[in-house]
Amino acid sequence: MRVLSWMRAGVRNLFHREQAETELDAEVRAWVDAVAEERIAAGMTPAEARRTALAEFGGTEQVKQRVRDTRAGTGVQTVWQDVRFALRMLRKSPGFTTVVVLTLALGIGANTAIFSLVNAVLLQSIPVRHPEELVVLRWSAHKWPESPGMASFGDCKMRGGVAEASACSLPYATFQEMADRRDEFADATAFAGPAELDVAGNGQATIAHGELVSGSYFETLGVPAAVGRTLAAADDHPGAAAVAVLDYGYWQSAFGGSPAVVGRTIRLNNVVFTIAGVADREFTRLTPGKPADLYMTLTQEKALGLRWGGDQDAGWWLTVVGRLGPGVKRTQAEAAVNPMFRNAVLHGAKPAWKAGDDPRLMLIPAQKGLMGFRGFLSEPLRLLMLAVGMVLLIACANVAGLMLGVRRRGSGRWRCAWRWERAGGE
Amino acid sequence: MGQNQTNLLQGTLDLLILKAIGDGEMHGLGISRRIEQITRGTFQVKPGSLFPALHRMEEAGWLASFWGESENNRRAKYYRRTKAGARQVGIETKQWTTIAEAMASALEA
Repeated sequence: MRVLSWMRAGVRNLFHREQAETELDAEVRAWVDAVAEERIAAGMTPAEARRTALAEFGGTEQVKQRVRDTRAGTGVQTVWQDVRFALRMLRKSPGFTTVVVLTLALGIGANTAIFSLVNAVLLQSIPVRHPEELVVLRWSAHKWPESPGMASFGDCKMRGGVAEASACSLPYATFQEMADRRDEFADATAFAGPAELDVAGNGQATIAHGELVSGSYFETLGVPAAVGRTLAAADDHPGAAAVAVLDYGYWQSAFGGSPAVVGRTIRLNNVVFTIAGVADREFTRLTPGKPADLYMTLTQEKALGLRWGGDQDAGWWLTVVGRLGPGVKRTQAEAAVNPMFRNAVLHGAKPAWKAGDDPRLMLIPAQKGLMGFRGFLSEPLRLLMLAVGMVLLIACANVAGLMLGVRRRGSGRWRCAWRWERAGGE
Repeated sequence: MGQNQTNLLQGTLDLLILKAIGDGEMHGLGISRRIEQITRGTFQVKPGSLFPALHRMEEAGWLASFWGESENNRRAKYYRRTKAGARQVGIETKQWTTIAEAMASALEA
């Protein structure tokens, strides 16, 4: 109520200044006239009555100015006067203005450029549905596992020390076990790559980056198709037709964004693939700095001539990402999947570890766990951001120094003009 | 005007103005004289203090104003208390009583 009435008064004072001034003037005059009239009635001469009434009033202009100072919106008016003063001053010294504008533009420009980089690499979340529900599986133990082969594609950091080893690469069997745990995970997917593939059957032969993913990849991430369809679980079965899904950007650049691409065949590493569809435009990457042009199912690995999984698919080559079920806490799911994981790696057909190696499975938030080039860029980027921040600070200091110089030269005249304006002059 | 001009204590002016107006309608000069009367001449509010206070209180929504005819048929700006102003009397009276009692007991001690 009080704020409202104050705001209404502020608007009136700012936009109907004339009216407020006229009323104030009339109010002051009415007071003086009333006092003077009483004096005349008491026997004073009109001139004398008026003079004493005015004297006792205490200076009509001063009183009016005091009223103006208390008015709502006075601050806004003062700011407006200051802005006009600043503009006048800048117009008077174009050289100074140019230097200041350039200095600040440089400082601000550098900050904007670096910040957009920092934003893209460090801050932006994964462009999928509810990225906060996604977790990446990471194992850690006292030593590397006895596995027939370990492959990592830079999705998350591998760590190996004297009595410490940790990575995200897991065998297909672990992915399957996780995907079956419906109490913890609403969905799970595994992927590896990208591989450099020879593309033929679309004009000149080119090279494209193809990611091998499980059939549940797009469903788990919640990425719809822009055209056609995305991959489905049925595509991942042994013997299923070879299909590929295009990245939206790749579809635009290599196929001109033509919707007729669905159903077309292309040859990847000399294997015929049918294009099933195009992934959503928003979906540009899962791991920062690791975009893919094409997505194929994991079952196509051997056909494409890749040997990532090793013999009998026992290799540790997959990054596994799960979507936590509704209401399931990350730590809770982690505790639930660990006994199964330990059992599999300690007592399976070919144990990867001994019990003393203390193998554990951790569920890391995907935003944090899927580092990509964030792993090695974050430190230099932070430094760079700090550096350009300093540049802006120095720019500000330079401008402040320049201002001091200019003010000292011409302050007298300007300050006079300023005072005059603040007292109500125009 | 007054010889025994006492400085208005900070914060008392609003309460004095609200009290002086009461439930009636008054112009500035009337309010000034009424304050002098109800404080038995102790407080004489000059226009330099009264005008800014009246305008501030009007913007705060405690007073409402309108233009009317004065006793000697002149146009004058009249003020009256709003509901919010009446509430404010209660609040400020309580504050002032607390201070006055505290001062009284401090001086007796």
